[in-house]
Amino acid sequence: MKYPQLILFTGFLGSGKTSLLLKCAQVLSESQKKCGIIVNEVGEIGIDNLQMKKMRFNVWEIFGGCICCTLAISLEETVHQLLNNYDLDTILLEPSGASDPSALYKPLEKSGYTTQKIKNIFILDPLRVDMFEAVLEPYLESSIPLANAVIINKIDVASAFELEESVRVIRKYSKDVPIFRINVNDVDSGIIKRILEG
Amino acid sequence: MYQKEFETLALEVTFISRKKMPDKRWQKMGSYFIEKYVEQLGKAEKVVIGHIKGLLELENKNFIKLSCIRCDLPINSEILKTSGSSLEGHLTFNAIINGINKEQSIQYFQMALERTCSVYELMTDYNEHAHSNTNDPGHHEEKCPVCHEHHTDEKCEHSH
Repeated sequence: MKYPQLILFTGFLGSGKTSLLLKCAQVLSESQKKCGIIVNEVGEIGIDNLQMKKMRFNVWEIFGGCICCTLAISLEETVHQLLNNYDLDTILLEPSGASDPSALYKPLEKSGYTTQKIKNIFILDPLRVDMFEAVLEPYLESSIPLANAVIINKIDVASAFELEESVRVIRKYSKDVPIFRINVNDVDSGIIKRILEG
Repeated sequence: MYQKEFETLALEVTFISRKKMPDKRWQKMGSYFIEKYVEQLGKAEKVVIGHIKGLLELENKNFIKLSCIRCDLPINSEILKTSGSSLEGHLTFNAIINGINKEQSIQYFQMALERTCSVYELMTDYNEHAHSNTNDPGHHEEKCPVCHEHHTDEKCEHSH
């Protein structure tokens, strides 16, 4: 079976995962790559998937799921469905920002994706880095070491101190992960390609 | 894993104007609505915003994306097409907040709605009573399909 590249967009709520995923999808489709998008959102009504559909992307949604129960089995089934029915080059997966990324690896492994086959892009919001450290340290501790690349987003509005703090926090959990500093709303396709290829 | 710490409110409401309103004004209205909701949150103690998102669908397939992640930052809004005008705007609202319960979140939503309708002279199809039942146990009360237990504090290790 052909396993398309799987890109995981992780990061806390409101960090810019959807915006980055959409940019990546645009760049990939411009390069004639066929993408499947899987989105999981907290809540009964998805907003990101609505927006993606309005932008004419095909999206598979996983709703109402707690990462420990519903999501695992739904994710496995959704990935199998994509692998069996579509000839894709890339799968873009955006879990809810309230979920623990490490819990996704088991269902993905059951779908044939070992850790080495997954590209995990972690997006960090520098405007809330102090809150993350104060309230969500276990989240950072669990998420950042799994990342293949870390994006510091919102550099247009973050202060120099917030950007420095973001780098410090990232390096606390990973000494060598590549760090990209971007404003996802104004990023050129060259940087997106570097993020995707790196 | 962190979903149990955040209260989720997902609601839909249609705003109706007496006459067609420019879509740019709908954008201002959407931001104002989120601003009023956030203003209420700011009055509560120890509130952490996970994310507040809104998608306001207008006529001619136009739409506005709204978001807010911190009480002290301006509401972020993006509009697809700045031209055009609409009679109705359908808002899908999703707030993920730590530090308040669902009842409070609905109350803040209603207050924001009332204020917005008054300032922008709008009507809505929102039914207050339809959303007043806060006894909904939510998905975290659902049992794991394998062991039929609740996994609220840690990851489920069962192979589903």
